[in-house]
Amino acid sequence: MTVLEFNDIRRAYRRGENVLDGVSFGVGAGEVVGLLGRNGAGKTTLIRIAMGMIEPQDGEVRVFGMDPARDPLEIKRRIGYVSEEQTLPGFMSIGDLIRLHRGLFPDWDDMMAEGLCDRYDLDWDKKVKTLSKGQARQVALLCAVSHKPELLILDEPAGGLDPAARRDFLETSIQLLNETGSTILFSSHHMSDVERMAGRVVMLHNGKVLLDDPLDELQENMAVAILPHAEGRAAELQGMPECLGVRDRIEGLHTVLRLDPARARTAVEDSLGVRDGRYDRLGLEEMFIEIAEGQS
Amino acid sequence: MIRLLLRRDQGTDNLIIPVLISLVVGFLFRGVGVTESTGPLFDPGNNNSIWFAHVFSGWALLLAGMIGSHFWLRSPRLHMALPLSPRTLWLVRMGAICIGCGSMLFMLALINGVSFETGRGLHAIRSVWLGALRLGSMFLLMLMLLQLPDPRLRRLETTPWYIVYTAILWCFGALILLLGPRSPWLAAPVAVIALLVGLRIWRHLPRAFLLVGTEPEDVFTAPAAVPSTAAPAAEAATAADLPRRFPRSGASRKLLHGTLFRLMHNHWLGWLFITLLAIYGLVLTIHYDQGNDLVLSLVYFFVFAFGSHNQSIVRVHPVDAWPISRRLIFAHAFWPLVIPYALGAGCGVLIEQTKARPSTMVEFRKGQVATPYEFREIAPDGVPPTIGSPWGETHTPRGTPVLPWTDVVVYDPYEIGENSSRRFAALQVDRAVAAVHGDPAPDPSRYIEPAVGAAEEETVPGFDLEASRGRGSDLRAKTFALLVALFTLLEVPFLLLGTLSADRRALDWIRSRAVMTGVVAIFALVGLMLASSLVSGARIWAQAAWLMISLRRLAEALPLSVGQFWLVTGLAVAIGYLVLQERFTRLEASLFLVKKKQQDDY
Repeated sequence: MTVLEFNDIRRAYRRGENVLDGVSFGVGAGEVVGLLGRNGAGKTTLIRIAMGMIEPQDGEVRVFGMDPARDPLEIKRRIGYVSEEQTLPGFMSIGDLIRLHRGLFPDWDDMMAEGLCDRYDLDWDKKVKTLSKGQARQVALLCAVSHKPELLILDEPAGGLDPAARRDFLETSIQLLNETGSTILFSSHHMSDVERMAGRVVMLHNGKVLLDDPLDELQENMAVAILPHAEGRAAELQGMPECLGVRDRIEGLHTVLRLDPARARTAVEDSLGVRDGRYDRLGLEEMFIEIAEGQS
Repeated sequence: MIRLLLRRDQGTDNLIIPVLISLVVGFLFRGVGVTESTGPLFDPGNNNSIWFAHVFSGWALLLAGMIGSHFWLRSPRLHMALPLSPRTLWLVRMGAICIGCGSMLFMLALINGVSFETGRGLHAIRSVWLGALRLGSMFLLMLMLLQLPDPRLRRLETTPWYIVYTAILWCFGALILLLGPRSPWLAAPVAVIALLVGLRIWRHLPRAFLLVGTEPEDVFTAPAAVPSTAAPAAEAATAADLPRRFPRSGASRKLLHGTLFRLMHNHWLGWLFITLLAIYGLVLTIHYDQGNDLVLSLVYFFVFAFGSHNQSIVRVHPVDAWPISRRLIFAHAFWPLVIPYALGAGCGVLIEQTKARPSTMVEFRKGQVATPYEFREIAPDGVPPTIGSPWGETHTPRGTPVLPWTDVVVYDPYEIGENSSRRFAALQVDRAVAAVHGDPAPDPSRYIEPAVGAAEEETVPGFDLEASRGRGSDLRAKTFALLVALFTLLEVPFLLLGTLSADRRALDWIRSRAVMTGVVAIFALVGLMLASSLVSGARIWAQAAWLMISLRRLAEALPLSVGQFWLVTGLAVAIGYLVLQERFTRLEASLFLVKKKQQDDY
């Protein structure tokens, strides 16, 4: 069953500058999808469209089979949302915030909220504005998950947190994932987080979906070929159907190919006749850098 | 560098906006007739009630300017990284606030301190400047006193106590201005005290400002939360603890309403709006001059409603992800503006009804009849008709041009000439009373024999205004209902324009240009009105009167009762509300605006 579906989504903030330019993909029940992309790639915009906070200018979005623009309340009741941009009302105490959420979400789990409060050692009487950034994010996560959402949307949830707080945040999310079986869509710039959590990766670039593959498949079938410079070679490489990007570096042309290293060597040698290349497997972080840089 | 900091300070950045606001307020005072009938703004020679109204307005404007320049910040956080001492940073901030607020006061005084008289040309009214000087020095003292708490902090903590302290200080300052001696020399000792207080603060400023733990910005410097090794969820919480922490759903509803209200209105500007709206509601119904402030009061209401409405678009962001109906949020943005206005108006009515001597709508003072604007008349050809009497006495009223380069004038059909007889004055007063209250025209025979022994100041032979004390006017009520409907019709598109400019979906160039055209057209209209009052004999009050007269004529022409008029107006307001609500439900809380606001909060 598809929980979240984007179909040819287009959205611009300025005339002629599409932030999202025909994005299509779906997220099935129980899936954990990592949304990757450079700053300005459209991740936050896509997530805000899914939340019904903004509307696409073209295309269709379905969350639990409903249109977020038409049924925002019903959808928001079934979603947990944490964002780096999100600001909780600073004047509220943690206790009031939790009581308020309890009233807003019919499926609120008091025991879970209490448990997370104790786990994070949160003082109910403390005002949100007096919390550290890490604590504020913990409160946001508590509010987002204690109603056992069917879909958890995390937009750069660990952005700006120190490594310890980030690790703790992720562990909580993973634990909840195991307990509730929620579907998770999350965006992050921390590739190690994506590798720990995601089962599938969607990469946005220039408003389009550049990659949409299971994580293990990506790690298996992605290689970088470092080839010597030659006139017109970059164009030839870009012409290969498996090529995802070419980067001109001092030591040679870095080419990302959607093939494992052995098959990448064969493909390059067959089509370009270049035999003195070097072929390596790519980690997610290197893959991200090579593709993002190679595309720009 | 100091000049650059001064220029980019919150107090001086976008200086044009507060200056324009004070310009408009100044012209409104002058143009709507307040200053013409009562004397110039801040003129210590005015009588007590006028001095009160003027000082109050100037003082409220300065308070708004001070809040707008974030007076509680001694230094922006970013400036603390510059190689400048806190003393320099603080002086820059205070300087910027003084420049900003001083410019507002200067503009107000300039508009009201320059007069034009036939034969003398343009000349300065010295007393206005002296009055403004008193206001300025008192403002400086208030600013310094507000800076007194804990000079070590880079930002004063705006606790409820500090807000109360500010309010008390501000009222105290107003009282001194109102009740103290009106000599301009009072400005000197007040300024000296302000400088001494400033010197004391300056001496106590630290080598480096402290950040306070309770301020929101501080979260970035606070230690990171240590991951807890506490027991798992199920073990830690006991069922017995839960009811204490989780109350009934009614309490959570109350919490929701409180949260939405605080989110939308619990900030300096919000409370300022609410307070001013309550005051303008009061001004609407309580006896004040000739009741000519209807337009002004409504203008203020809609200006503040516009400001607050646009604020609410930004403020909706923290709750945007929560399953809360936008209609509910809109109601929390809208009603807290209407309720204080309505309460103020209700208080005004109550005060009027419980007064020992209720007000009259028609007044006789300084040998002239005073009626609300809508009971004046328009002469399209610029020649007001001559007013006659049964005994042959006549008077031709003076006309005031409405628009430059046109002949249209507004005149008062109940005007009394300098050489008119007391009988004629009595006839004019009775005519005015009959027109305002819808009574039959006065019997001419009453004026043949003047009454004897008219000792009271307000009494002339043949009439007695005491009889009309506390009486209402159906025609006035109908006109006011139409005015509310008209303002609603104007305000709704204006508010929609505001939301459109904030909405990032408004990509279509035609719509974008429509927003710009609308905004430019409004400013151009206001500018044109102001310019016309300077370069020609046209007056803004005459334009307001022209509007009211047109509405009164429409009210006379429509065969509806007062209740039916208000029903129609209520319908127009309800439709306007629904249109705005529908727009609000689909509005995007732009991240751009949210980020901009966060930058402004620096």
